[in-house]
Amino acid sequence: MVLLCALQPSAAVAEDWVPEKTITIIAPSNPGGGWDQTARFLQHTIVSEGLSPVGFEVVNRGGAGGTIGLGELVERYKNDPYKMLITGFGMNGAIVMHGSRHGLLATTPVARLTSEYQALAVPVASPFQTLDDFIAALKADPETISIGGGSAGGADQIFATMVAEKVGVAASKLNYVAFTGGGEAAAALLGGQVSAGVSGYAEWGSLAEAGRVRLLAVSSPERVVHPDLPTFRELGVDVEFQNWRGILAAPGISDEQRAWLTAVIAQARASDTWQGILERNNWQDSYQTGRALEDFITAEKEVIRDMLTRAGMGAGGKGYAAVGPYFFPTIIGLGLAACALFLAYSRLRSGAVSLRPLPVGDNTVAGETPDIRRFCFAAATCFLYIVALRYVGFLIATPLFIVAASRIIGSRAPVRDLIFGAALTVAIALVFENLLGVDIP
Amino acid sequence: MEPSGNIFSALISGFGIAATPENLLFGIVGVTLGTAVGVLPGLGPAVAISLLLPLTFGLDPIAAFIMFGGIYYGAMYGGATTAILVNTPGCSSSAVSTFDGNPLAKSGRAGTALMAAIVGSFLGGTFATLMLMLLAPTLVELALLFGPPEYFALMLFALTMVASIGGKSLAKAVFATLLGIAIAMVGIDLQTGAARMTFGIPELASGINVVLAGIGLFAVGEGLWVAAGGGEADKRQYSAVGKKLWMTANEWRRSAFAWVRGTVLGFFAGILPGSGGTLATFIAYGIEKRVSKRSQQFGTGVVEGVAAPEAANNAAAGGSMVPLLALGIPGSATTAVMLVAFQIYGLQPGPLLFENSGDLVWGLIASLYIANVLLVVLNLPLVGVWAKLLQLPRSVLYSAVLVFSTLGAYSLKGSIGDVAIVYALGVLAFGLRRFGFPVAPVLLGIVLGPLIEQEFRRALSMSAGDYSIFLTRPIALSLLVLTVLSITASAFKRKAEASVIDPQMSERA
Repeated sequence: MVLLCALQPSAAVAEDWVPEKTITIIAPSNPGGGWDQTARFLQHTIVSEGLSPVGFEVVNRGGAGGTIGLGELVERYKNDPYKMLITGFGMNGAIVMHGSRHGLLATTPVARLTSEYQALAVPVASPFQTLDDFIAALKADPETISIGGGSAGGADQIFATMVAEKVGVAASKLNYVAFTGGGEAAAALLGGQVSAGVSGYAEWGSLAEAGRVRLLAVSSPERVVHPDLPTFRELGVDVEFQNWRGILAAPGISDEQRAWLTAVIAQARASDTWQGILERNNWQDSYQTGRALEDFITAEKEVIRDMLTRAGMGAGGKGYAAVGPYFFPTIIGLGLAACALFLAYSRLRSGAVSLRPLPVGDNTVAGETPDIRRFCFAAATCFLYIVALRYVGFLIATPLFIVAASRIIGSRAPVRDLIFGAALTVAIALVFENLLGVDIP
Repeated sequence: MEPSGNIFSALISGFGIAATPENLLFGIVGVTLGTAVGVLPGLGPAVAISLLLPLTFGLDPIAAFIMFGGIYYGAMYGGATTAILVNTPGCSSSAVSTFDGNPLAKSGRAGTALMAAIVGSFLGGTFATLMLMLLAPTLVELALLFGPPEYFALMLFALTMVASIGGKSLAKAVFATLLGIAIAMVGIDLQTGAARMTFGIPELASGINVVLAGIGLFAVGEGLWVAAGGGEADKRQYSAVGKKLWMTANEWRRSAFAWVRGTVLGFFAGILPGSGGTLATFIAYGIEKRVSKRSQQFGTGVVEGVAAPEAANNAAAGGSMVPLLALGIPGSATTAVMLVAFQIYGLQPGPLLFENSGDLVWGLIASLYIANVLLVVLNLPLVGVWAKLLQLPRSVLYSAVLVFSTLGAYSLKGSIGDVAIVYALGVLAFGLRRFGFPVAPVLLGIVLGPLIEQEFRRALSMSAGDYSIFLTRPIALSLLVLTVLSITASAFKRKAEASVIDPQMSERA
């Protein structure tokens, strides 16, 4: 596929800098998440439209609301024009909430690509027929109205908080229930487990069409997603909100490099493939680049910071929760202590006061007791291996590790082990790096 | 899924679309690749599908679907092979298969265990596909009845399985389980965003997930155990491999019920979004042990102990397709990736799926059947080859296990931090085993911990802090009653067993 693209370089991309190897799009979420989706759709567009002379690959660097991926782009891939990162509203939120070292502007922002409007949904059997019904109930007793959505501090919660504040309900009173992803929140709403749900319109669209949920309002300025679905604004709640997604490049790249990357993204965005994807997913085209994008990011960060502080989220905050984040860890800690005490007590009572280890448990019936000295050797070897991976790389570290590990396990044929280790290393490097595209250290 | 009686003809036309020689070839590639990533610790079906996705961009959608189906089912089975052969499960959903699979292999009966796993995988996957085809809309309504209180109660019930997998000392098993739950709580709290027990280390912020735990506790743990000289007495027994490669008539009979029970349990666990295959295997094993006449022999190499969980994890894989197709709700990492893949091919899962893209869906369902058959056809002849793997020198086998564990951990996020976490868990597992603590309950705790906590807190949010929510909902209440019964029953059983086998064990009270 890479070869095919190389044969038809796009004439429109004629900047001073031309990439020479595969460009990596980092999706800062696990496979299947929203950012992963965006990355793969973008990759699909660039590859199938033949927009780039080099290949595009997607890797996942999930964790901490995307700030893990961000940190990597800023620190590890500084000046590297071959690395791009998908970003969006949620990352801006996570930066505030988790006190990330870097903001989005520590990178080279390339483009905002899509926006999704948030919709408020209720189960079909819900007593709330209109937004007014819902708001009246929310005002009367906010804590009895549970609102499901994605993880804490994400777009769903921030939007729910904005609506609540607009109608005079304090952010800290809002009973927001976080689910692992949009899908699980949707399932909870369909089953009538929560009073209402907040998610991107795409999540609800087909369910609403099939009559499985009732949509009360959408966060767009006008009726753009569906002609029958009113906006919050026209129903008298003055909020407007878009959950955007975009793409960044590494900090420190040259103007030419930035221009090339921007041009490819611009072409992808203008293509039929991309526009078709937007339409199928009910995403809005909110393309924006350059200075305007940077201003947008800065302004948004302040809004989020404000909102999260009032909702009591993030480091030190409690948020609304009948049971706080330290309730379970405390119980588990006490349970562990109780077990340990009980075990120590029964051990002492059985008369064995020496520190000699107990006989091995029944998961290890066969086999002799392992030797602590050999274990220490093995653990030290593993530790050295990890350090070596970081500093001399997989190709050199692995054969040596195999020789050492084999020696500890009991092999007396270091030459054979070295040959085996080298062969395995080469095989892994070929299969993983070239065939599958898995990074090796 | 279609209410009319046209299912049969639709399925036939689906097979017409799917069963072309070219598609079968992609199916074979998928099953082979799936089995391979299943074998390798850390690489699972989600990773494999997302890696292959770009390579399928030019393909016919059905060719891609059949390949993904093959990967999914192949991976669910593949994890079992290494679990059985070298006590290192390739996926966390195969961890349970080590309990009896590895003892079987050690007694020279690796072939038997592998066969029980293959047939179980086939039956589980086929049953799940059948149910998906016939009853998906009904089943999905059933799944929707499960809200946070029900999930919480179900997870508590699953937790009682620790009594079946935890070995002789209940106190140690409970300690190991709690340790697992504690490990699972490291990271950012979903409900409030608070960073818990991360000590300011960014690598810990995203938590220690089930995949890392599976690699660390089992693969690295076993590697270190062997390196330190554990299990050297097995060398001789391993060489007896191959004498009795296939299952005996008696084992077929015994496995039959295990397969059926595992399949049904796994399927229902699979249709609940978010619960997943690993959980299904623990419950299937626990139940199997309790209903079996040979429950005392579980853990020493009974074939049912492999048959039930291996049927369960493939059935769960198929079950997770139910909410995916019927509602567009992915219940697992793999189905989330599949959703992206479907969307790229213009298939929009959801309530209107069958009306909008009937051809593709029936092609997909036919693909799933075909992938299952290919799984058996490809893997049965390989049983002998796998069993021969055991004749390799142990040093070669286990140093390779460590290298692949390292690679698997690194491949998740490209982070050396994850590699370090995995080795730390391996050292922990070694320590636990050294002092007679069972390791499996730690994994059970890691799987269940986050679910128990989050569902409990969600339930209380739903009720605005009213604890009676757990007692006023019929399903939740029944599950809680079942949990109490399960605890009582196993307490009595333990007491009875303890007094028969070992009078000294009374110290445990």
